[in-house]
Formats: sequence, C-alpha cells, structure tokens
Amino acid sequence: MRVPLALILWEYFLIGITGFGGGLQGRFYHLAVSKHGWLNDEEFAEVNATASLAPGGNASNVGIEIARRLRGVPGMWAAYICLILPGSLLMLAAGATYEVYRDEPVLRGALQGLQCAATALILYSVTKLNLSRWNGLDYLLALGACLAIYLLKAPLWLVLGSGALVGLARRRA
Amino acid sequence: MSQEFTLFLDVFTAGALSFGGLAAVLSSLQNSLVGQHQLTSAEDFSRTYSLAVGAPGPNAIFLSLLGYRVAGPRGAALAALAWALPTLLMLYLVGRTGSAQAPDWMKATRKALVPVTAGLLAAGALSTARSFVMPTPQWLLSLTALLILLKRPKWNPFWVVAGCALVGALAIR
Repeated sequence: MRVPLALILWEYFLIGITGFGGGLQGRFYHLAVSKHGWLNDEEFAEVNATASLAPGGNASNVGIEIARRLRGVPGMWAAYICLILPGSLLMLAAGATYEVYRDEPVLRGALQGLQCAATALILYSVTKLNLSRWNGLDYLLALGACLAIYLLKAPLWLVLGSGALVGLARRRA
Repeated sequence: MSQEFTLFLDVFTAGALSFGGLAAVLSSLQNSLVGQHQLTSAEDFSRTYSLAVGAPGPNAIFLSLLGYRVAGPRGAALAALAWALPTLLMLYLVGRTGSAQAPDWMKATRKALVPVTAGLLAAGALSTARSFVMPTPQWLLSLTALLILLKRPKWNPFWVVAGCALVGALAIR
C-alpha cells in the first residue's frame, strides 16, 4: 500500500491548522489507526516507542514517524512542514497586527494572559512524568537541573550529561 | 560569526538535546539566544513563545516565529530547519531498524534522564513567567489554569489557553 504524498500533505495540514497543544497525539492515532488503517495498534505502539527515543516534541515526533513509515524521508519533511507552516503563517500575521496595536492595553493584557497559559501547560507536562514513583534523589536531580539551567545558566549538554551519568550510576548500584 | 549562523547553531544544539520537548530546552535557549548572543530581548522571547502556545499546531512553531524576529523569512526557515534536523535524523535512524533494536544504553539513558527533564521543564516554566508584568496575580492565574488542566483532563486545553488570554485582556495591565 503506497499512500500518496498529497494525502499526507493534506491530512497533516489539517492537523497543523486545527490541532492545539495536548490533543495532538490523539489526533495522530485517529488519523493513522482509526481513519485510514495505515497502522494497527501494535504498530502505533512501536511508533510511540521510537518517537520517545528521539529528541523533539513527542506528539510531533509521532506524526513524523508515521509519515516516515508511509513515505520515507520525503514523507518526514512533508509532515514537519505541514504541521508548522499553517500556525507559523497565522502567527506571523498576528504578530504583524500586534506591532500595529502594541499600545492597546487589551492586547498587551491578552498576551500576558497567554504567558500564564504557557507557564501552566509546561507545569502540567511535568505532572505527567510519573512523579508518584520518585524518591528523594529524583527530586534532588530535578532541582539541581532546574537551578543549573535557570540560575547558573550552565550549558545544556553539561546538565544532561552529568544528569545521565548520575542516573545511570544509581541504576547500576 | 553572522547572526544567521549563530541562530542556526543555537537552535540546532537545543534541538539535538531536546529530550522532553521544546519546553525542556526553553530556558537554555533563552540563555544562549538572549543572554549570550543577544539575538533578541527577553521580553520578545517569552512573548513569541506565548504566541506559539496560542497557535494551532505543535509548539515548534515558536522557532520559526523567533527566527523571523531575528532575521526575517530566511531566519524563520533556518530556525525551523535547525530544529527539525536532529529530530528527523534520529527518527530515521531509530525508526528504520525499529525501537526494539535501539542500543540498550540509549533506552537506559532516556529513562535515567526523566528527573532531569522535569527540572528542565520547571526551568522552562520559570522562563515564561520571567516577564510577567503583575507577577503575583499572574502566578495565581497560571496555577488556577494548572489546576483545571489536572482536574479536567478531558477538556480541550485550547479552552484553558483561551480563558487565560481573556482574563489577561480584561484584567492584566
């Protein structure tokens, strides 16, 4: 079964223009498993496992990995571009409008409100990391990483590298 | 070194280390793009991120918007490319052989990094909150939004985002 690139472009464009934040992963399941039957449940689980090993946002990784299975490297680029292009263009237009009305208090306030939403969404993603199974050292690692990046402005590779070493050493122990 | 090259390099590095998604490298990106290389202001950085949160599609839209602020359409394309390259490369390598064939150290490291990721995400939340104009009320709004996300996981997060923007438009000056 060879899925036309145009169909991938169209479906991902639709998700790019209508998908918001947390719901993306569910959209990809619906698209690939329920709607088109491109993948079965087992294959989708494998897509998830692959997506979580790569850097980048998990939901968009799932989408890109599905496209790779269907159409290889061209599929991956098509998927990525279709996911980010609609929102980017929309927000560039919004940004230009904002420049014109930047002294409107209502607009400035709305943007400050969006910053609150951004903060909340990031904190929400922290709560999905299985905190209930953590012990003291886990919390210490988290606190250390946060302070090293936020206050000490340490380079990210250093924080990730030392964090990985500590994490691996205690698994061994 | 030209601005565009610095932008590409900073975003590429962050992209290659973005285990846990964009929010996990947000604070580090701010350190390099704003603090170290002064390609944009801290205010612009968090405003652009909140625009991306209000946009449809994945958060990676943030990078094309930020690239546009730094160096116009070319900057947008460069930043989007720099962000995608490491992710697509890893997905290609892992996906082709299947995640079961991925080396054990890779999976072990990924697991060991979970607490560090949580700390990095917390730093990301502090970064978006850095430019609150009314810190106490805005933190209250953020925590209220977080509570809604936790208590009503079935609701589309879009409504939480829209609600925050509305409260901001009416009350934040």
